[in-house]
Amino acid sequence: MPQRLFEPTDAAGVAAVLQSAAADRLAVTVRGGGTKSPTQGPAEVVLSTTRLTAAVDHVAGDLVATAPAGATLDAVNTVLQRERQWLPLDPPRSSRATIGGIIATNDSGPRRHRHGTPRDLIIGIEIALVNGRTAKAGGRVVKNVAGYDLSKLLCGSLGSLAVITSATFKLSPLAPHSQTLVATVTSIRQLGDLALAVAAVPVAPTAIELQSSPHRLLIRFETTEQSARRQTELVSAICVKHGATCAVVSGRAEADAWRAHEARIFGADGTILKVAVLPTDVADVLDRISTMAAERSVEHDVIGRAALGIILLRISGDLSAQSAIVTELRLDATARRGTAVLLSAPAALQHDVGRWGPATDAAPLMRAVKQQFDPQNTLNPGVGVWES
Amino acid sequence: MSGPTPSFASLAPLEPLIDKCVHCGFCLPTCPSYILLGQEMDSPRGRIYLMKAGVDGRTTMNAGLVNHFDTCLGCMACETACPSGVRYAPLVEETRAAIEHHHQRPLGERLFRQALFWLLPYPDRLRQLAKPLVLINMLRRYPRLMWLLPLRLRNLIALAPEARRADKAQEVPELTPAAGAKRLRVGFVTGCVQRVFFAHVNAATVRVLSAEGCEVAAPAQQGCCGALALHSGRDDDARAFARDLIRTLEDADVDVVVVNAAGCGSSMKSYGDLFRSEPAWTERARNFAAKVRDVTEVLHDLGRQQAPRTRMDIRVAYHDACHLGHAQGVRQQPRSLLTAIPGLTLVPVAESDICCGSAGIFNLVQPAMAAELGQRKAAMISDAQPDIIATTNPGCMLQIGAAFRAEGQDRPIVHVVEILDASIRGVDL
Amino acid sequence: MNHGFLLELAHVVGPDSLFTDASDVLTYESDALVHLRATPAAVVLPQSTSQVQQVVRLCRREGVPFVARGHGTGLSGGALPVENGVVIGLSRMNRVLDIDIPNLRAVVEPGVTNLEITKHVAPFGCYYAPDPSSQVVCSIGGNIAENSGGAHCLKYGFTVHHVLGVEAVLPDGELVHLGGAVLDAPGPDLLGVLVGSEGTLAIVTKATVRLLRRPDKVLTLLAGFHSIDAAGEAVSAIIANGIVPAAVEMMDRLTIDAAEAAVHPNFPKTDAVLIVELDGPESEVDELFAVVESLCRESGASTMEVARDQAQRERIWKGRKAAFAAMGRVSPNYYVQDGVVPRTKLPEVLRRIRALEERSGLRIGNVFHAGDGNLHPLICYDEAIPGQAAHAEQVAGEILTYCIEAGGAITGEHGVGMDKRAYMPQMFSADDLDTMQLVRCAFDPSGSCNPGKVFPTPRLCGEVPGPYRAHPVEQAGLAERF
Repeated sequence: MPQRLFEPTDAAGVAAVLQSAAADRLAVTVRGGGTKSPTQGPAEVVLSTTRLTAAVDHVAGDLVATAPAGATLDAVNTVLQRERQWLPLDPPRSSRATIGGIIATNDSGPRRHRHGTPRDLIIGIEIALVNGRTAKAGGRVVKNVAGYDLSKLLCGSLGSLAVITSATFKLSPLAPHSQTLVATVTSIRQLGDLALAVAAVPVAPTAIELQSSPHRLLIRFETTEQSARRQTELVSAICVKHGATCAVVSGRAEADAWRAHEARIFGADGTILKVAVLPTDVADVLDRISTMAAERSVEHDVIGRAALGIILLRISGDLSAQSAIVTELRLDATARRGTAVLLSAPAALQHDVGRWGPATDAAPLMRAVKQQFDPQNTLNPGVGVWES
Repeated sequence: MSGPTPSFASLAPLEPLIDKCVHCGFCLPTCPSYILLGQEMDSPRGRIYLMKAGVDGRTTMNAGLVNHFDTCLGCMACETACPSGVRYAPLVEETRAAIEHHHQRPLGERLFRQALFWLLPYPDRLRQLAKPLVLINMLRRYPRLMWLLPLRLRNLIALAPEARRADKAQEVPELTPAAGAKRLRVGFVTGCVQRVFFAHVNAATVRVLSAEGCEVAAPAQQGCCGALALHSGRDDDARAFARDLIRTLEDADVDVVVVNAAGCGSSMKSYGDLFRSEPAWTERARNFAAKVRDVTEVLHDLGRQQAPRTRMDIRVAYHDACHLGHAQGVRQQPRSLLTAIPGLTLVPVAESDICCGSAGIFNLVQPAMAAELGQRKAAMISDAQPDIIATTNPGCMLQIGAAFRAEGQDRPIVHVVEILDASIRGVDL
Repeated sequence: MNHGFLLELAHVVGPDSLFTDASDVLTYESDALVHLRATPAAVVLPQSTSQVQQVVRLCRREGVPFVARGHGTGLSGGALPVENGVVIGLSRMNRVLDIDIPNLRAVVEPGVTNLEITKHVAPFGCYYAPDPSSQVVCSIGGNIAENSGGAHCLKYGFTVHHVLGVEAVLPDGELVHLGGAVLDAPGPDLLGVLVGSEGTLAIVTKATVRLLRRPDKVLTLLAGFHSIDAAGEAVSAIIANGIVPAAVEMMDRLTIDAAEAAVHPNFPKTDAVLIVELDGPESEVDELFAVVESLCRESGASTMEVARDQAQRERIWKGRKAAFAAMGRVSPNYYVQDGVVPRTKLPEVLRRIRALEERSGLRIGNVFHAGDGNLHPLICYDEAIPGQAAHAEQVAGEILTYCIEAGGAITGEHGVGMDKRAYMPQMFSADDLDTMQLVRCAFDPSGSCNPGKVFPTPRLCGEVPGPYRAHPVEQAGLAERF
């Protein structure tokens, strides 16, 4: 089927495309940097946001900035860094991922430990709707409870409700110094225990990431040099007590380490599964992953936000083995009141096991919201969790 | 807005006090009736709102409204919590008086209250109870028998003081000289229930005051201070009692009037308010009230200890009687006196600002609510694991004692001065 | 009200939990915003989720609007009843159901007070971060409705950042679970839009909240300045140096005096005080606090007091938190406003407020969260003077327009409720308000859940979108329709 590509340059333009498509009962795929894999093939209309690139409006004195949806995260941060501030998010592929896409997927990275997800940082939003209108919610001030917080609603909505055209965020000052403690242990169990022990130390890291294999914790400190050293000392002592070997990296070596960390999952082929459980369940889940992968001889890699209970698993190889692993992990996670969601997978696998897992009692409400915003299912049809 | 409903007319002059309330709600979490019932009408904020409604002619003094004031303990925790400085005491006292004057309670309730007020403010009549009390105390040992009795009666029996103490009742001497250098001449209020059933507390009070250089005058003819009457809205009775007591103690010509029952002390300190509508007595009552102090205040303010304390290695849980802590703002003095005893450890009690449920006659007329509060207080005290419980009010002692007995425990509860007395004399409690 | 309906309500919650007597229901006619009153026909105080569901279903069936209420401490009339409607009070659902320290979570019923959560977890070295000044009494359910903040929201965010999940009763009586103890529940963030929706979308019957560990070290500075401007410069300097304090509060002379009279915090007798609090790892706090101190000095602080211990810290905060209610001591009446301006616009807006004070003849005290630009002007008046109450309200409204003109918000914490509906169109366009109400139509198509709040003009749910409107670009012939 022939596809038409639209690249509007402003919010009104986006709204016009959406309204036309809705009127003609055509489906629209919204695409930013194309870094998140789509659930199904693109629809008849592809709406690209990459030309929504108005200038970043940065008010350093307020620690606030408004960024267009089509700008990449790195491009935005380059502007903000001129005033020694930044939008403290580190999702994968930040040189290509757009602001709009990051919000729509509520994507984040290791610094989530300290700074949260887009949903925690967003204070205002502008969207374009299928009824041809544009709307704003929130504002440009950090403290604001006027009206409904639509910016939250859009986080994680995967472009199914409206198209984000710009967003306002609260920022963080750039830290003067950064260093990372790398603690290596010999078993998965040790890794889980160490993560809980480190989380209880009265320090304030910006990230506590786990890696496997080799089994490692990466604990990042971004603050004054003196404090970073001191906090590293304190955590190092705990790690050593738990039988870990420690190394400290900063500068180039640190940047490389984090790049490599991300690349384990996002820089190689395979299926990416995100498992979310309680922090105290992380050790058990890692154990299970390790056992299953070994049993089925599947190549795998794991990273995760150890203190938050978020585990990212990449597996490749035999599809039926992958399917079995995903199914089992999902059952396990569900029993722990958690979830196991496919972030990226071959179409056949997604079709086989489903992207999301079992629906919750919120599904009817989500459908009702979708019905209000997009009565004809124009936007990104099929992406919704309520459709599983 | 029409004028006040007639039964609320006496509250109209207090409207400026009512209007001080800004409806912020800070009083709610500390109000025992709101804690138990969770409804706005039974909170200080809600009650003030009802007073205002009465003054504005928006509500009548119906049985439901009266009940919301009956559930008020008068503990004054709300005054402590209020950031706007609302004086809840005069408001609720005036409302209770208005209720007494204008509302007719059901017959059974009326008779019960009449009986209480026939008995409690009259030490001579209380003394007659001493013999029957022996039997009543015995009844406590038969819980199954107790459960056959109606709630109010069962409650009275559960709370009744120990008869054996009454047997040994002895009036304190009319004059006790100061030991060593005389620092102060004080008039001692001997109380009613205190005088008859806690005479040992009075004796200890006088001994400690004397040991600390106070000449203690304790007129034998003194009567009730009127506290129970005042806190229950029987304002005319309260004024009659007050006038008599003021006259008696004026004749004694003392520097300070010392009270060892928190409820009495708080009432006496507010005599000025009690006579605000009686010009002949207003000034006189106010001057008298300015001389009233709790015994812990007096001892604390004397400063340097005259009588050395002997060591007592005990863990003491100090219970703040509401009428001392909230109504009089006296919290630190009793604690300082206790911690000045070598070896004594003060163990903090959680929820110390919440009433034990005694609250004057509250535990007699609202037994179910009072029991719940008593249980809660007993649990908080138990958690602190004390050897002994100390407080400054006979009502609290009876209430907390009953609460522990209901759990099958018998815990020693004493007045703060008893501990001081034992430490000074070097004897065991 | 239908007598049969009342009987059914009594049957659900028990006769001791249903109130219809005039003298009972009148005590529920307003929250803490006393100039707005409406008398409900009935007040119910359910004690379980199931009871809430049944009450809601009954109300829906009879077409009776209902308003949820916590402990009635709101300042925008969010819990203002609908005349002759039902008030559903959650004050008796006040149990702490679960505390999970290793995972730093707690599950509570909506009637639990904000401070109570902290009290329960304090023995474990933890606390619940959002700390509105009314935390001793405000309910967590109310906090969720208003997305309450508090002095420490500059660093720690608001209720929405600390509530992980809720169990809620929808306006049709269905029970729904949004979010949960585990992070990242898939789907659009319905929990995020529920928080701050001012009780217009659902009734929360359980909340899973996030706990934090007490910071390693806390240092609190109380600095006196000769002027608000000088204090403001100090704050700008702190932000410019890349320091984000846990809290930055400012008070002016009038409010300092009131607080002093009320709770005797021993504040300096200067024209402005700044309370700056840093928390975090000891090494970081010590280093950054020294910088803060020198920046304050450079900006002309005339007095500086550092809290030496917890008692002193509490004393300082008590002075700040008692400020509103304490105004009752310096003025017969006062009107507290809540507005936000970008921090960089604070000096200009404060100047406008000073000018307004002079013009109006009404004293205006200022307490504000200097770190995030949330102002609380306290307009003093005497209602015994005819017309003065209305004048004060008008002055309060004018201050709000200053906030909007400066690019701020009409409410930072108290919510829109009934009080500020009229200002919504000044801050949002018709399209903006219409789009927000799409959410309301999804949750509450029958319009029975706290109707009349937040939005000046309710949207008719099920409205058909308007006819096609040509985009200007299309009209210009630069793009074509499919």
